[in-house]
Amino acid sequence: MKKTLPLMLILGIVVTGILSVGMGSISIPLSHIINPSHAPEYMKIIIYDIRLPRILMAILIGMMLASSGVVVQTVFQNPLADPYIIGIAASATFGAVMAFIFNMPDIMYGVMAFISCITSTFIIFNLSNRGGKVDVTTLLIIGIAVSSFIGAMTSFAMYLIGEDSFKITMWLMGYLGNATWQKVAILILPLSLSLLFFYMNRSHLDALLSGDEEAHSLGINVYTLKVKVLAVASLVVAFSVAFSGMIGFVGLIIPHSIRMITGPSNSKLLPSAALAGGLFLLMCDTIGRMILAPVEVPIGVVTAFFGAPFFLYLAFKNSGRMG
Amino acid sequence: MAIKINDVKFSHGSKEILKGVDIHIKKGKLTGILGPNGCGKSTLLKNILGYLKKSSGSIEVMDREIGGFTQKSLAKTIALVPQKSSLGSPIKVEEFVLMGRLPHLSSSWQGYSREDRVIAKKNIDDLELSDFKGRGALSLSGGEFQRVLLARALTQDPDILLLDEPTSAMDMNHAVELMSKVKELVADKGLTSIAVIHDLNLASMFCDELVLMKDGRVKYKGTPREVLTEKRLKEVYKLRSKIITDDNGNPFVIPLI
Repeated sequence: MKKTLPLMLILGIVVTGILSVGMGSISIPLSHIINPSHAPEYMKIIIYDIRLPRILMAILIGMMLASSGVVVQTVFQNPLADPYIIGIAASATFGAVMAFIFNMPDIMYGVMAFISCITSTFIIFNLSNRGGKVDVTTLLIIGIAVSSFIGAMTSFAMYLIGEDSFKITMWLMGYLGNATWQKVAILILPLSLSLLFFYMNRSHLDALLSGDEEAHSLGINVYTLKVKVLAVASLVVAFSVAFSGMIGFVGLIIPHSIRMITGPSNSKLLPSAALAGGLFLLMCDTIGRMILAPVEVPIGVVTAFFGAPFFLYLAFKNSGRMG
Repeated sequence: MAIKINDVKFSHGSKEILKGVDIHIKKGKLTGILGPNGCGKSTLLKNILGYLKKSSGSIEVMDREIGGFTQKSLAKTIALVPQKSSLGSPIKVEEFVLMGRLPHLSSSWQGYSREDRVIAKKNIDDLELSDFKGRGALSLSGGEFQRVLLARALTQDPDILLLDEPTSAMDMNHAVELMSKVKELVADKGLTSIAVIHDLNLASMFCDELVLMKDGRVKYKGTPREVLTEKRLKEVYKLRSKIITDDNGNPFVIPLI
C-alpha cells in the first residue's frame, strides 16, 4: 500500500479529473472527453476554457495546501497546526483584499497576500515559541487572536468597498469558478519551487520531529530551517488564498490521513500528501458543483463540512503530540 | 584533551546557572558528571553541545574552540543521547537511527546513501535492536528506546558521546546493561564519553573520572575513589552516607537516614 500509494493517487486524480470534466450543469459524454475534436464547439469551450483550468487549479491548490500543512505541522510539532487554523490564511486574505481594493493585476494578489501572510506567520511563530518549543494552547489562542484581528480589518476593507463586496464574500468562502489558464500558469511556479524545497529538506524536517535540541545535535540549524520552511509555506498559502479564497482544513485532514498510511517520514509523506491534497480538492470541487446543481456550493463550505468534524476528532484524540 | 572547559559561565535571564566551570576531559575516558538537582549538569552538557551559548569562558573540543566549528562538523564530532527524546511521531526505529547520518549527508536531494544505511544497520545490530527495526520508536519500552537513542548517536560516528541521565527511566538491570555498553564503546572505539548520572553507584562502577558539581560550580573531580567520600557527599548532597568498597576497590554509597 505504502509503495503503490503515489501511483494510486495519480490514477485517482486522472479518473476523477475525467469524470469531473463531464459533470456539471451541462453534461459532456465520455466519448467527447476522450476525443474532444468530435465535440460540438460549445462543448469544446466548456472543456478547454472552463472545466480543464478549474480542474487543474483545484489539483494545484490542493497540492499546495496539503504540502504546506505537512511542513507547518512539522515545524510547530503539532498536528493541529493547519495554516488556516493558526491564522496564516486569514492574513493572506487581507493582503489579497488589499490587492482588490487597489485594482492590482492577478499576480499582485499573490504578492500582497504573501507580504501580509509572512508578516503574521513570523509574529505567530515568535509569540508561540517558548524556549524552542511551541505550546499548542498558546498557538491556537494566538491563531484565534490573529485571525480575529485580521478578519476585522478585512471586514472593514469590505465595508469600504461597498456594493462590490459580494465578489469578495463569494471568494472568501473558497471559489474556483474564476479559474483561467493564466492563473494555472502562475500557480505552477510557487507549487514546483515549494515542493522542490520541501522535498530537499525532507530529512532535516524528519529530525525536527524529535525536538529542537536533538535536531541541533544532528547538525541542523533549527532556527534557520524553521524560518526558511515557514517562509516558503507562507508563499504557498498566500498564492492559494489569493487565487481561490479561503479553503480550510485541506492542510489538516490530508497530512494526518496520509501520515497514518505512510508514517511520519517526510520522504514518503510529502509526495503522497501533495497528491492526496490535489485529489481531495478536486473531489470537493466536483461535489460542490454537482450537489445543488445548477447552484454551486463554495468549495470552502464542502471542505469545512469534512474538515470541522475531523478537527474536533483530532483535538479530542490529541494530547499535544503528533500521532 | 578531548574537551577543555575553562571558566565557563552561563546565565538564563538574570539567573546565573554556571558560575565558572573548569573541567578537562581526557580522550578515551568515561567521565561522570554528578551533583544535586539544579546544580547545572545538563546545562553544562547543552553548552558543550553548542545548544546553549555560554556567557563567558571557553570550551575547546578536540583542541578547537567550539565557536570555530560549523554545526555540521560539530555534529560529526559530538553526539547526544538525551535523557528523554521529544519524539512525538511514530517514526520507525530504522528511520530514526538513520537520522544519525544527517551531518554526513553530501546531497540533500539524494538523501541517505547505501553506506549510510549500512552504518545505521550495523549500529542497530550491535545494540541488539534488529527485532525492533520495523517498529515505531514510540512503541518501545524506556530501556529499548534508550538503546535506539544510543544507536542513533553512534551512527553519527562521533569522537565524543554526551549522555544526559541516560539511565533515569531504567530499572537496575537495563541501567547496568546500557552503561556496560557505553563502557565497552569507550574501550573498543576509543570514544570519549561524558555522562550526567544521578545514580552514584552506577557512576562509581563505570566511570573512569567523576566531576562533582554544586550550585553551578565544580566542587571535586578525580577518580571515583577520590570523589565519593562520606565527607564530600555530606557537603554536596547534605546526605549522611556510608561508603563501602567492592573487591576492585570501587566505592559504593549507602545512604543513611
